[in-house]
Amino acid sequence: MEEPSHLLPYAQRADFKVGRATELSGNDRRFYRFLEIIPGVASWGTLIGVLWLSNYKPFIAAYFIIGFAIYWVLKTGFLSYHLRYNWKRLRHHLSLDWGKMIERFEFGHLYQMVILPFYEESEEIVNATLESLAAVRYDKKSIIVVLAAEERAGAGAQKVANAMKEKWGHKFGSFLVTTHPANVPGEMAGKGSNATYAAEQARTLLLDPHGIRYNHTLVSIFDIDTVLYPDYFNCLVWHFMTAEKPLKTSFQPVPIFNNNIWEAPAVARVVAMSSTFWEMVQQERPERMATFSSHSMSFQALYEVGYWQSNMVSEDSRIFWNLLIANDGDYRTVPLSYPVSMDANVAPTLWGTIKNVYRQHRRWTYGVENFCYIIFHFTRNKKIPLRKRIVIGLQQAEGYWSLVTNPIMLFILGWAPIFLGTQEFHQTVLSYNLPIMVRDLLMIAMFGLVISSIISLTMLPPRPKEKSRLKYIVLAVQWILVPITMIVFSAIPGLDAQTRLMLGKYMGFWVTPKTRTHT
Amino acid sequence: MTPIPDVQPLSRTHRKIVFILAIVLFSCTVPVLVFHAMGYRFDFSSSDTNFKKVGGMYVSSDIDDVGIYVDDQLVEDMRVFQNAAYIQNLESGMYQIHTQKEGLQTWVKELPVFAHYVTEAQGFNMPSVPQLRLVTEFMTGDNASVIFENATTTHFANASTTNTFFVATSTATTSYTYNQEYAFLEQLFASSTEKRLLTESQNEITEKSFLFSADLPATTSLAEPVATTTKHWNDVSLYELNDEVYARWTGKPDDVPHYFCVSGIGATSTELYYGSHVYEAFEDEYSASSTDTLSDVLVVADRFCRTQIRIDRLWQDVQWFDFFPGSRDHVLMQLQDGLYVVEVDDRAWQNTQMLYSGDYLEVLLDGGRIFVKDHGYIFEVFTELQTT
Repeated sequence: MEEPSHLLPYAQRADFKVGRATELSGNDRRFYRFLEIIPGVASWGTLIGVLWLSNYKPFIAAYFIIGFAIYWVLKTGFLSYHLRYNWKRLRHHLSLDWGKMIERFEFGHLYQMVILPFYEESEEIVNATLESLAAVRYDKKSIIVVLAAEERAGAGAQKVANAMKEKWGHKFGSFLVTTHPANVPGEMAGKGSNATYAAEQARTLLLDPHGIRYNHTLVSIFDIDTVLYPDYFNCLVWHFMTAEKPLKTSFQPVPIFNNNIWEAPAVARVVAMSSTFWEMVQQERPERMATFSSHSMSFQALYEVGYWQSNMVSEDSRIFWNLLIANDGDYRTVPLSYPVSMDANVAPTLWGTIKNVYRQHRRWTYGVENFCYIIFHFTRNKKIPLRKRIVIGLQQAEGYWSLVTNPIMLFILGWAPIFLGTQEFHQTVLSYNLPIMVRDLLMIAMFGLVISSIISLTMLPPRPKEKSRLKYIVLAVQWILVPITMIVFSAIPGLDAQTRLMLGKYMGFWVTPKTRTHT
Repeated sequence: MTPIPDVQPLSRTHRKIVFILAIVLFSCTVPVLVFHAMGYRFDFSSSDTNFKKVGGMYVSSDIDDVGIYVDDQLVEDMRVFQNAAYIQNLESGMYQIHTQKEGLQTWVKELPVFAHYVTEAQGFNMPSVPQLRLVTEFMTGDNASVIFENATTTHFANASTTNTFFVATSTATTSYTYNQEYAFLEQLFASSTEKRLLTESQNEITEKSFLFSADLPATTSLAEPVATTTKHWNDVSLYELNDEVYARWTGKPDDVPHYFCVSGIGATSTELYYGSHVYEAFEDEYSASSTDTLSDVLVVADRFCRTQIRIDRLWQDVQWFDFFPGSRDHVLMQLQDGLYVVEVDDRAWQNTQMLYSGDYLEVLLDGGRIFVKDHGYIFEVFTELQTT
């Protein structure tokens, strides 16, 4: 499928798209395996270390926990500040007429390729996405839709794809249905392999025959439940045209998981909005941002690295690291601060929702496999500035470590010295003051949740008629669940994912089931 | 239309300033809060010393909404359920604490507080007026206990009963139902008395056998009896020796309850802080440790802990004892003039509170409930105020 000549020099390496240690050999394999072990060891080491300290050196553990609680308060304030600012910017961006904003640019040569990989999602879900796509304020003839089905999904998926082509095909410049073959050797069944197949099909069947230039094509890969806001492509074009290096840039919208938020149970709502808020925070610190979920980039950039990796789970963020490394560090993500709506993770039953949310977050946090990839290639590609390699390496390490350890340390281990400490510790003022101080600091940190609560209310879709106005109160108060959701749906799945990677029990791609009763 | 959005992304400079501010705040806050948690306070009132060291006191009680006082000042900041308080910012010294609530006896203690340390105490407050439930042989149709007219009712003069009773004018019982609980308790009292008599006679035999033994070690007093009844619960043993009742810690040294321990032993300091009897108890344990392997002083962290504490019997004969239901820190003790609850904690003194007054009582515990048989009447004695 790939002709190495079109790949960037570094992307031509045999190990460029390594997915796991077992794909390498010799020292490379050992080194990569070592990197796979590090995150799990660091997280487990920290948690066990705090327990050990609490048992044998409770005074040191107590000082550490107080310091850590203060760090958490400041971190919460710091992140809330970014969140609030991005909320302001997001609302401003929503109020702008991006169509007018881009009038000053010559952009008629640009094509928007929209890749929509799907698996067994219902026609209703796919239809809602295409409906929103057909409603965007952009020249539809410049939009190329690639509906990427999976052969392993069977005849049902084919039927949905054909029905959608029948219904929506005439609305767009092109409408291509691709079917990713099942059981391709060396591939992991998942979104990455499907999207890669679809992109290559689109190139050979549409771009090349029509002479559409790759650097004039913007690719937006959307999860199949993505509902676009009308000005998405105008906003994208504005940022593309004003980007310093548009072909060396990915564009990240804010995924708001609110399509079905009125039907979602409180746990799913809090987790979904928390994920949105995290992306909003990242929008204000783009140097730490990789692509996530639905995003856009030029076809040329994509082609130069051979599209998405098809041998690993978190392809949505891996593509950014592929591009950064292949471009010797000269690649970035530009935040759009413009939303796309997606589904909160909802199953027919509460228990089903809890299980699905857990699995989805385990898949997301399995993004820790990117840490191994980044560090492995940072030690190989010396053309990337050293400072950049160090900063990114540390940021990623801190990110994956804190994701797992911070909630557990704060809400559970903060009390460990009191239960595990020695008699000598128990009789001290420090022992008595520790839980009071940690509690008070956490209460202060919880003020950040008030900001979250207010912002979340402003991001709700219109209330369905059958839902009571009292539901708004529930939606505001639900944020008290955060300490629980942080542990159950962030720390524990993260630890689960890191442990699997550490033990070499590699994960496969798990498709989040989509359930929606309203569109 | 402006060519660029009015709201620009947060600038790096702006974010850097916020980040640096956060670091500065962190660097300042951590030492301040760590020192505060350790018990250091800035003294605004004094011009000489800027910092002072403080300790604390943790007082708990089994009674909800109890009033906890330190040096006669009511503690306002109570814990959940209002039955415990952590009193902070106490300078080193002696403090009198008491717990009280209307209708309950008052618990009082005087304890030292040391800088950086928390002194623990557990108050207990028994009802001022005994709270009883009469268990009679017969019941009326509507579950009232039946008392026959010839019986004296003066037993209730200083008590509060929770159940209704009916005074019958006739001794005929055909119209009443027989109370199965009464029968069960009668049986328990009978076997309990039998067991007690058996134990006492066995003890007498044992004492005599020791008296006539020719192989006794020279250091052992011929008249010294062995421990009789021993109750064991939750790593504490209660036993009687030489007419005294002792509580002995039998668990791990690290888990020894706080009141077995003092912060450093010295004739002056221990007597001053905890009373001369505590110091003497340590002396006794030290001297006994050479001959009696059961007696030993534990050193736990920087504290010295006894392994046994003598229970105050108010100079009366002990007729019966057991653990207070659900607690290893309190002893239920029947003395000559009634049934008492005594705390094991003997720092300063042991609080003793009467639960039921009377001589010639029979007492038994059944499933955590206390029953007294007094002049043929059986009562359940409650340890908390009853609302009905």
